[in-house]
Amino acid sequence: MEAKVSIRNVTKVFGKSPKAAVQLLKKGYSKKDILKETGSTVGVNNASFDIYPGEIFVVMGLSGSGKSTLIRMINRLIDPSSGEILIDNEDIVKMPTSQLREVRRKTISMVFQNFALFPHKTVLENTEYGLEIQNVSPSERKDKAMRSLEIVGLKGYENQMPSQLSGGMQQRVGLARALASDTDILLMDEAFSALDPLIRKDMQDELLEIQDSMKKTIIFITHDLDEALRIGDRIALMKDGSIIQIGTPEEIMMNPANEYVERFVEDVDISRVLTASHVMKRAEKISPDRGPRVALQIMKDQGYSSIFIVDRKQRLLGAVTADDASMAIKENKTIEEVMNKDVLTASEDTLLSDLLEPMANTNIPLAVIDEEKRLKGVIIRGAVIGALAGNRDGLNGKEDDE
Amino acid sequence: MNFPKIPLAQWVDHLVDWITNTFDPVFNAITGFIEGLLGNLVTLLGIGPSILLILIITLFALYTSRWGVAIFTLVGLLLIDNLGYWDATVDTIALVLSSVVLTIVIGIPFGIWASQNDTAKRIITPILDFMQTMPAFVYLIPSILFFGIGVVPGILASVIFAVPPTIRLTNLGIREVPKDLIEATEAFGSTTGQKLFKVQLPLAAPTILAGVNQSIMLALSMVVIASLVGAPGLGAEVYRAVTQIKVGEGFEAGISIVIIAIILDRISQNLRKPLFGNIINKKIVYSVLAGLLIVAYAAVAISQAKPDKTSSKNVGDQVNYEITGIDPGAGLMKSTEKAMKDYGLKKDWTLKEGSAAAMTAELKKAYEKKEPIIVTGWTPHWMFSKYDLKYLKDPKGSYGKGESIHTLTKKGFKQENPGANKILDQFFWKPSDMEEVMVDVQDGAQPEKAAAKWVKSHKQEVGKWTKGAQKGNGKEVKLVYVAWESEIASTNVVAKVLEQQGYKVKLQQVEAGPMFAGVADGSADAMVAAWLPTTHKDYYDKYKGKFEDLGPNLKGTKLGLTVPKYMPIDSIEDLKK
Repeated sequence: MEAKVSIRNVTKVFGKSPKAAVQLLKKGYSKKDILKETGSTVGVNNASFDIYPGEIFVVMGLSGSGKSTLIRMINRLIDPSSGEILIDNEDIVKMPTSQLREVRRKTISMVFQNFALFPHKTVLENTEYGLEIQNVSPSERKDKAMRSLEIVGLKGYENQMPSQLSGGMQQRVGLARALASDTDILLMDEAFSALDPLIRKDMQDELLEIQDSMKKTIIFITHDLDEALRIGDRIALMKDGSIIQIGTPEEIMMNPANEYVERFVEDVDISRVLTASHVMKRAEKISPDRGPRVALQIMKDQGYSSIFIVDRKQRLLGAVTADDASMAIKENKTIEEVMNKDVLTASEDTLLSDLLEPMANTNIPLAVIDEEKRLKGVIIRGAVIGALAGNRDGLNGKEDDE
Repeated sequence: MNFPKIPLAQWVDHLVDWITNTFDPVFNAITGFIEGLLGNLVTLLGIGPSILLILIITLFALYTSRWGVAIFTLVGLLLIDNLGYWDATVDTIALVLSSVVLTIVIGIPFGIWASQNDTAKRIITPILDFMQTMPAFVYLIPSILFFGIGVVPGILASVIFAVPPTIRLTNLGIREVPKDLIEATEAFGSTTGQKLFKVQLPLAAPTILAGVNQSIMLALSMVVIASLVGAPGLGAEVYRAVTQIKVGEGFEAGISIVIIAIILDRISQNLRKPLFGNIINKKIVYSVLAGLLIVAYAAVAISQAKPDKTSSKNVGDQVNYEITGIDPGAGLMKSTEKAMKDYGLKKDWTLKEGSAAAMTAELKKAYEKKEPIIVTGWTPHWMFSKYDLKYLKDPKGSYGKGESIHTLTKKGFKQENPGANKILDQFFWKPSDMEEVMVDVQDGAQPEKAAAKWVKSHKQEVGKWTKGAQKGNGKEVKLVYVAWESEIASTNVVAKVLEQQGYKVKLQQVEAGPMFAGVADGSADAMVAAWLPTTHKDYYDKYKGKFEDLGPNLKGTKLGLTVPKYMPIDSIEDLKK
């Protein structure tokens, strides 16, 4: 797939002698040494990556890691010291002002951490600002603004002033303003960081929903790994201006590139990252026509207390415990007559956190099935507990070439 | 190290001369424009009975501000009217409004420029510091040369003095707009103009208006100073009261200024959010006011348009029927008023008030261009040595005969300090002697140095003054004088002589009224600057008996209307033609 945005060797140095600092960076000096040597601060150091159409690309890092600087270079609110930034294959760094203005109007819009709403304009006027400065006719821009206010669920608030709204609603206005311009790319600079945790979750869900229907390219900045893992298709992790690792949430979690990333991901609520597929084991299963004696024999051999029953197409039918099988032998019943058909199931991408409750309510392992009810594996309590305890050795690594 | 003095003053003089000559048509155009504007404004404000304007202002105060302010406005303005300062108040309001309009027109664009451009800010900031700390009087000097005396240099000096807060706060207000809002406007692709007009200026408006409010207050505080160069209004009333030590009148004019200041301050503070803005939309009120103003103004301007008279050869037309005068309190001005009455000039002619310095500046300007001008003149004065001037004949004797300059001491000075008293008593010289010192001073010498030079080269005369007087041995003598060139010269010469005789001399420069008051109440020992019997007659009579008159130290002074020799008139009677 062709990249929507390409960042190529982009460096930003703040201070009086950026050129000297860029030279030192090339020689491999660290951010600290350069500050000491030249008094210049390295904002972003030689960042290179591609962002593909329709993906949510999250840039994550602690305060001061250069992520805000990076995102602002994409629409050139900050000029890079060196490097190229290609948007639809055009280098924005070399653009003259008028062309840059067009790109900002038509291609990239932005949502800000502290909302950056104009306090002297109503919600509607704020929303249509991007269109207003393009001299779009009042009726047309009102239509578009009303539509994007509807998308973010703020219909009816258009004549309020921003100060009359809650934080969450203000950020919806910010989002609506960005959506009204109908740009391909959406830059979101810690857009939800100023909101309280509950509203933040709602907004994340809403963003995912909007993204589902609008298919924009979203570049999202956050310092919150949970948020990154929740919404990011891919994540870039930054430290001291450099990009340390880029990958899917699973890759970052499971194969931290270095100790720093490992420490960074350590505190994450792992149950919200790992899915059933990470902890499931191969399932012991038999077809119901084998009879209870065979089932009991397999259980004895393998040391299990239960076994899953599948049809010939591997579709899950139910499960029998050792007790069920013994009873069937005594009463001369078939497996189908004694098996428990209401087996609790999960899909492969169910989060661990959502597995905990069903696990507690059943004495047989949880069955993992796909959309066609085919049994893919089982989850036993020990594996879940091990994973939550941080024991990654027991996890099923996802193949990189999926 | 003996560095020669850097001739900064000469450089500035040359620069100002060059500007005056080069841009004279521009300055004349500006003067004409502002005078016309202001004249129409004054006519407009004074169009109906005073109570009409008072009611309009009161209603406006009520609309914008609290009840209290409205009541204060009504009572205050009625008081001013009752005291008889209404016309002066209208002049003052017109002057302040004109200054404020210019301040806004100049200040806000500069403030915007400073906010958009760091280099501009770095250049403008020290200039603003300079403008605000330079004593406002200093602006009057070049202003007179550029724009003549009258209200225009007053307005321009006010603008220079009042514009810095508007520039500063415009810059500050725009720069204080939160950074993320600026980023937002840029991120959506605003042009610089869109950013400015849609976001920065609306958000900076409260700060900018606070700056304008400060500028209004500063412009108002300039009205007294502007009256030194002839701006009419309450300031001139205050100035006149000061020069004549009229406590009561000074207070009346002063309190009028205070009332105007409070009203302007409160109304301008509340313009943005009027108290009754919810009941009647402020846009409507302001539009109606502005519309009325423009219509009335246009009507006034059309009705005031005068027929062109440049073709006329009449002297009066050539000088615009104006006589350029000096300080409003001076006796010379009174005599001139009398002369204008005697010769029937009262109706057509106006006597412009200002100061001695402003008058000589006007004269210099006209003289260099060989333009006609009529000033109130007196001898001894350096201008007679420097330019070819003549007195207009005074067949009716309005200016009286020549005057003498008297030496006055406080009561009991003779007993207290007989030596100094004797020197002062014997001090006597001729107008030509005095002019010698005055020309030196005018050419840039320090008064003390010019006096010392004269004393050195006139040993014989000085000997006559000091004959028989005992030495001072460090005894102190306090002399007061008024800052006229003639008195600066004589007082410095006397001081030099007293110092040579061992006295410690303290000089104090004051206005004419305080000079007499000082000698009369004994806070000063003596003065050599009493022009009698005409110029200082009022003061002399007022304090009579409270000082000793040692008689004249100079005879043969003269007062009268003075014109350059190139003018084809000889007598005051010629002005009637």
